[in-house]
Amino acid sequence: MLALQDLLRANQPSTESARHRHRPHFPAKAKSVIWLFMHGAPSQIDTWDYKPELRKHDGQTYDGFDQSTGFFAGLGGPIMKSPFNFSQHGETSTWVSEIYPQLSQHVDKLAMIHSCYAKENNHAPAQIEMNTGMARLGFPSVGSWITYGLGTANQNLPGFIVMYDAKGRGTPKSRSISWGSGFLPGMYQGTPLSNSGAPINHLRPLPGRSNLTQQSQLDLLRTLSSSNDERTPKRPELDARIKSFELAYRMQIAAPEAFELNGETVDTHRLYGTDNPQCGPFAKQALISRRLIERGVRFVQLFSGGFNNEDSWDGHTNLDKNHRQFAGETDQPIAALLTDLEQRGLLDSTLVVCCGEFGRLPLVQTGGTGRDHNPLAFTTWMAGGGAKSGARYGSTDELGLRAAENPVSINDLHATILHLMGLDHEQLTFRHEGRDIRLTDVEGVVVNDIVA
Amino acid sequence: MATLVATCTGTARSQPNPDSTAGTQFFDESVSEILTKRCIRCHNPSKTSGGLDLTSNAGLTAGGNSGLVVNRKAPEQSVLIKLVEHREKPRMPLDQPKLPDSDIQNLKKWIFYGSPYSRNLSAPTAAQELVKVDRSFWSFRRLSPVKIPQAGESWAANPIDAFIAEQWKRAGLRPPATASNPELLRRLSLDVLGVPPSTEAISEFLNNTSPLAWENLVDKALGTPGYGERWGRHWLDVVRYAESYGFEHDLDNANAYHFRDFVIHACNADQPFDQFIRWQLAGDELAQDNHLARLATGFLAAGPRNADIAQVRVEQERYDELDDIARTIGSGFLGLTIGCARCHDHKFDPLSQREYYEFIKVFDKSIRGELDVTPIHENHGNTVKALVAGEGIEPLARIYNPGPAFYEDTWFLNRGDVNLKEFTVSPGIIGVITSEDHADFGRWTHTASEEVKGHGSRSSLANWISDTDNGAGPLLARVIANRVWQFHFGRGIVTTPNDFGARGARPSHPDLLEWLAGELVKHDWSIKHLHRLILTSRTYTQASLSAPPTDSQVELFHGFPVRRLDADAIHDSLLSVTGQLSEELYGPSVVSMASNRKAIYYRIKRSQLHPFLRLFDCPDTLQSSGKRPISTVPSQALALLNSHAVGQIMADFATESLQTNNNDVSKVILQTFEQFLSRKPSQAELDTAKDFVRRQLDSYNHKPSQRLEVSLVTKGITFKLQASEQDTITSTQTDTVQAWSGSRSLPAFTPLDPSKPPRYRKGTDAAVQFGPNSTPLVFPNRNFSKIGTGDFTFTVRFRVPIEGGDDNQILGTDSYNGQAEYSGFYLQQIGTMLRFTTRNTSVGGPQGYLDVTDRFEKGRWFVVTGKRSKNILSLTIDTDFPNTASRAEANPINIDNDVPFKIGDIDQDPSGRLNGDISHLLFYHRGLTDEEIKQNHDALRASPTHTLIRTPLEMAVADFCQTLACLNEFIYLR
Repeated sequence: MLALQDLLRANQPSTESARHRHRPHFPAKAKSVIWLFMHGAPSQIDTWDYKPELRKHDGQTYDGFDQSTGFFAGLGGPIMKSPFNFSQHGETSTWVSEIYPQLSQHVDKLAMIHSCYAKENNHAPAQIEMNTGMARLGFPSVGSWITYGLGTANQNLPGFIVMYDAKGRGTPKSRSISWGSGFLPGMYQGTPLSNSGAPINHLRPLPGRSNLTQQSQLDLLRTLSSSNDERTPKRPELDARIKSFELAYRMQIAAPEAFELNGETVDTHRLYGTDNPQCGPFAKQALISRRLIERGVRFVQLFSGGFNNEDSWDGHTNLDKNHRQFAGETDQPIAALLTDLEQRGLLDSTLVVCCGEFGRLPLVQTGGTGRDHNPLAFTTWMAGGGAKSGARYGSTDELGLRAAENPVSINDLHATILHLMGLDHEQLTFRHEGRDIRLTDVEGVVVNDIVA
Repeated sequence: MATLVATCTGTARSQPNPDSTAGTQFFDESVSEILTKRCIRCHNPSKTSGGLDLTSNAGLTAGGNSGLVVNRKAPEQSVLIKLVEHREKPRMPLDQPKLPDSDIQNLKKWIFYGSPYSRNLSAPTAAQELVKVDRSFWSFRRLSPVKIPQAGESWAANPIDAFIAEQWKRAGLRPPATASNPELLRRLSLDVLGVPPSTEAISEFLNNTSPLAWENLVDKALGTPGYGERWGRHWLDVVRYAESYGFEHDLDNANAYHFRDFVIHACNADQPFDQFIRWQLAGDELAQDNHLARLATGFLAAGPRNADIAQVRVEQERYDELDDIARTIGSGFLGLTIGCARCHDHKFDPLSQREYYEFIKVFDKSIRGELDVTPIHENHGNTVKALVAGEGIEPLARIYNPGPAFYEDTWFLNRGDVNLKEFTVSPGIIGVITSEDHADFGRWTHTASEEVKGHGSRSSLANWISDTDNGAGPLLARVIANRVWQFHFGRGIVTTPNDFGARGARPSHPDLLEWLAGELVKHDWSIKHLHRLILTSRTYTQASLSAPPTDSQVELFHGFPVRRLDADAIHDSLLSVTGQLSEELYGPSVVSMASNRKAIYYRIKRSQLHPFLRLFDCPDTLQSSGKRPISTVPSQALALLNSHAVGQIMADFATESLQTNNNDVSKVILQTFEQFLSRKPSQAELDTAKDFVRRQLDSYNHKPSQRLEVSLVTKGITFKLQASEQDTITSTQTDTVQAWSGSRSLPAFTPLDPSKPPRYRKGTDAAVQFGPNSTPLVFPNRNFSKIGTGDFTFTVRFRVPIEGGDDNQILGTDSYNGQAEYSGFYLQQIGTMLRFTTRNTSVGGPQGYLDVTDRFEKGRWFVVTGKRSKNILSLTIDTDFPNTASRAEANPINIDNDVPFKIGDIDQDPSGRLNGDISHLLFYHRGLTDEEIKQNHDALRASPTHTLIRTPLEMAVADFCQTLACLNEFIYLR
């Protein structure tokens, strides 16, 4: 049996550039993050940001609207009311769209920021911006930064795990860039789980091989390494590599268990809706997320919605149908995740973040009944992990086009998430090309109003 | 100006009000920058050198320890002015060059105004406390001759050793022992060629008693073509080389590889490094008739590019493209972080924002495009399309919002924001690495010839960058000399190879680096000359220390550094020691490990980096990478133990080695030790290994083999044809086709010539065989091929026998019959290439082919998936290293014809019909996701004919070989 210190050391990169202490800058409640990424960009005004004025101005021209705001310049039609009814919920009397019948029961837990805005107005760049703070390529994702900052608490599993669209509709448009490690060492990149077969690459022995035959390979490896002792220089990294083979062997056994849902009770399955054809696939991922953070995985990111426009929250042509479908796929699983985490006492130490890459316009997109992209305003909510229950921060203008009061940039959002994890966004740096680069570049202000 | 001030002081009757707008305006315009940049680092509230704080009017007028520093009535007599004019001591700014006269005059004038402040200046932050640098900064200086120290005389083989020994002497270190010959040979081979030495090379070297044996060996290694591949790869890291453009669609450019070939060729030919650089910047202008020079401009075309952007972002995207070029030249060629000056003046280095825009201006009319060029591996003058850059070429297409490929003017952008244009700029160079009298861009002008459409500014830049007298040449030489050193020793003399600025590390051996840079320039910029110097030094041939080195030993290169092989070397070594590595140079990129080519030939797709290489820290290709990190994680161990590719290599080697050695396990073990580790096993090791093989053999003899069970994707399937071991094949989910059975029963497909139906072979290699006596199968229902512009996917598992032809049509529906108009889609094998296309000539527009030039191999099963989804074609071949090529249709292709879908043929023309076998064919009227495609490939690969399961003895030996490849002795260079 290896000592814990050995295990930790075996999982460290041995470069001098990455000689880095894995510990928070200050004490924090949150130990892990589950980031629910609504791929394709949900409409803020049809989900969490209730705008009664829309109904009044339905069908009217929006004077002074800048037609280059959306992706399809010139296709911004008249103002369109929300196709959904809103009602108030919880002690906070929060207005929530009817597409969230279950999640609306949790509004008092949520800290909502209504005034988020992005710089980019197309999916891939905006997703890259949301995930790395920069719309250009080459920068580390939030999950990589946090894993770099805090390390992982389970050496048998990757520290940063990604599950993209549960229904097999493909990766996010930003592809692997969204979980890439940029200039951070590759070990901090997210590990995407495949929808078929083994959850992690190379986790199963080769055909015909068994744990037994592999065990004797490890024995041979150990014997030959030590028989060769006098000719091999002594180096900590050489010991670490030999141990990494033993770790790998144990991962083979430990990792599948984390993804196996048979051990969960019938009630838990029912809570998440794992056998419901509409939300079941996402429900399973949500449940796996809980199992992963329970086992010490630092950062889990889930994507709802796949590559193509219609296969994601990208409701350009028929917002009603699109959002009902995707809310239907996620409402129960997310609500269940919050309930489950709370019941197990994990919500305090788990920060749940939910957002898209931007918002949508309060106008109809000409030619249909949908809405085009809107980088000027969207809502992000957080729960648990030190986020202030029931907090409401910032607001949009009366039609929900633009963040009006207390605008929150993506840098601000990132600064806040790092803060909740016990990391100072100005101190979490990596020297690259002569600069100590941060997730938040040279900006970012923690939104203290949503911190408990 | 001096006169003016004198006059003013002389006529001091009506002094301006200190708070006057004119005074504060003058402060803002002409003084605040001087104070901020040159004074307040030491004179601020928290650091009041001499008791003086210059950040506010209050601080200034309070004066310092020695009294008042300004005299408004006589500015000339102010202490501050006396100090900055160096009339009195301490001369200010301390230890830095004197202020320019104009600055001093401005200070006098400001004092005359009453030294008003419009605001308090902020004290510099800790980061700004760094040394301010200028032309005298170590890396920015002109090259100067270096005195070779008198040190290590009894030990040194050349001046390198003297420089190194001098510092050892100071640190009290004695030279370590010299490495043994077998160690040296292995070191040299892995370092210079990326693979261990062959057993023949070992015995040849060990038996060579010539005093020049080592020198000869070094020369031989440097003359091996593998050197260019190894060192070319290092350069490709630096220039962020990839073959796709990143972002949402990550479109491939199958013609990008010519740049990689140029680099390999240049390394092998030892092209003078200055010319190598000049060509990459402006080969098209500087050497117009040389196709190699044209291919070199692929450097400018290799960066990321977003082909799908909103209209308002088109111009921003163009600035991003130029930024990528400037940034890569900065970090890669000059060790200067030029990109930092995009939004503001560089915080640490003397690079202004204006210089940044002048620098990108040089490239603003140069765009990417494809031209017909003679490729490097072509001896007959034939041309192919190659991705290059330059002016006046046809730009690459964008998917939406095409917009202009370039803009006439380059603007100075406030905060880098394309909406905050301030003024247009002219081309320029970086001042601080240029002689003062050469700052004008015009001095570097190159007159482009008339045939060249370029405006010559890139050649001017090339002249500047390679000029050692007045341009950036000294820095260029230092940066590359450091890289060469770093790749040999795993650590640079400067440990920040991409940053030689104020924030970069300082050289551990400044004189050595200066000497190497000087040697490089003196020897016509020959990189091989540097290699020879380094490789024949005793610093290189010293043994590794057995105990872990101290930090100081690491820094002083005391003991040869032990380091892990990089991803490419691990990959190539695995193939090389098992005798499977292809020595072929150049050519289109490959996507399959089965090609047995070196890792440098894998197609580099930015969104799908080769998982094995990425696992071992190959760069992400998004920015210049000067140094690969080295990580040690269990997933690397998993890949070595459980990846299909490594398993396949080891199984093939085991099978062959057993055969060669007549199943004598001892001999196999001996051979494996020699080939893998360049040495013989000890008796104990031999016994352990034999025991191991015996134990594994027992396990395999007693345990029935397992098989992977992965199911095929059935959602939305149109038909599934599957040959199985049994005679009758059934199909599970079909709308129209009931079965694909033996030769006599083909209910839905009919043979083109009913008298010559395709034959069916059962057994482990079950397949339908097509050939001269078995005609293609036709699907009579025309509705099937009415695909229009819709999505579809097919997955086919097929092979072409060794003796089969070089043109095999696999499947498709295409109405080509020799007439001008035709429409359809098909998959075809042409030589080593696979082609997937959709086309409709009646709608005009260009016809595009998606070609994967993966040295398609005869005699081996291939699983291939073609997909058209949202007008983007993609072709996926095998999944061990999943590789998908993709391209967009030029315009939506309406597949509209009146001919049937066929298997074993594609069109109405009888030539090119398939001579080969098909075992599986799946068709979907939808675009499958990447994961679904992977699932299908996994399922088909796991089928019986493609397996790692061999005889128990072969499996046991394969396990042994694999374990040997997991040893540190194999993975590390020492």
